[in-house]
Amino acid sequence: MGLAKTKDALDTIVRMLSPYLGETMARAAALAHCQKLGIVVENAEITREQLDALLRRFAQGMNIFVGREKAAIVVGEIQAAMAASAAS
Amino acid sequence: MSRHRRTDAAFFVAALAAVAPFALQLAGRPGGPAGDEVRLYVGNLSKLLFVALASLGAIGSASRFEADNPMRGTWRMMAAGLLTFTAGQAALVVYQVVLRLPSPFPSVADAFFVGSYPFFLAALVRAIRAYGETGYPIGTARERVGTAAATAAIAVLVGYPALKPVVATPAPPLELFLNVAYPVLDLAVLVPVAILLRIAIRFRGGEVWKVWAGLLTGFLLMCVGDILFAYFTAMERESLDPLIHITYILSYAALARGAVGQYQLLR
Repeated sequence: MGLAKTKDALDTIVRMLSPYLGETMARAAALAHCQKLGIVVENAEITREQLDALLRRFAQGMNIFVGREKAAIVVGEIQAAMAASAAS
Repeated sequence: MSRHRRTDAAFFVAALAAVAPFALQLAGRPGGPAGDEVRLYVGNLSKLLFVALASLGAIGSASRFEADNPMRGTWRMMAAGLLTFTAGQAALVVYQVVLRLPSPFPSVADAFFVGSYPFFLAALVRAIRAYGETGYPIGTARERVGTAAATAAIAVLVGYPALKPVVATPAPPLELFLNVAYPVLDLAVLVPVAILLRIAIRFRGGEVWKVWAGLLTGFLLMCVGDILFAYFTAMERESLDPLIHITYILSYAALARGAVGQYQLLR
């Protein structure tokens, strides 16, 4: 998978998590995690390592709401959506 | 229609059907002896069904969270509280539906109802702690302390005038104790409920919000119902009893929607 625009990656994450967290929280959490991980959002590309770290953070939080098993499924769906958008 | 929307629709229709006979009575259309019979069965059985469903949802949720997940303890406590509460409701059903007696007050049901509160309080406090572990922007600890202090102050401001006539009304000691204990315990539960509501509202639009909106609405309505019960009993306003039944039915339906919603999220 090539490097994706950070903003596009975040949009995909927010879209996939909104049914669970609501769009406001999904976006706020994405921006908060990026800030903590030192990921630049505007006019930047996200590396594979940064994306994995970001998804790990989301999964840790999602565990509390949907359990570890379901959180892993959701993260898998996000990765699949990212791969599909990178391929297109 | 998604599974979650179907669940919403089913709960909405069931709750509406259950409160309809009481709403008609409030509107001055009691329906005679047949109406009394309908209210006896629908009122008792719908309450029992909703709290039993809430218990099952909570038990299912507790069993599906992993052993080291902080929400497992939350849902275990919630399940213990709801099961104890269901036992109390079942006792009322035995008195009113099976034995066809007016349920005594106090009764064994009250022991179960009062006994459920420590579990509810523990569950809600654990949930606040668990939310803090998500790493999501749910607000600061200072905000939570502020919410707790403001809610406690409002609880005192609302509770004192509401309970003053209750305390002043002559009643046997145990009856008086329960008439005061229920609203006081409810107001104590409202403190963690307010904190959780402030956190959960940030999740609006998502399924997580629906779970907690259901549970927290349930606890809020339970508090309203208990205050109305104590107040109307002290003021001898039996004509307003249907309002109490409506409040309790909606409360238990909301609790059930929340608990079942959490179980569905885990599947």
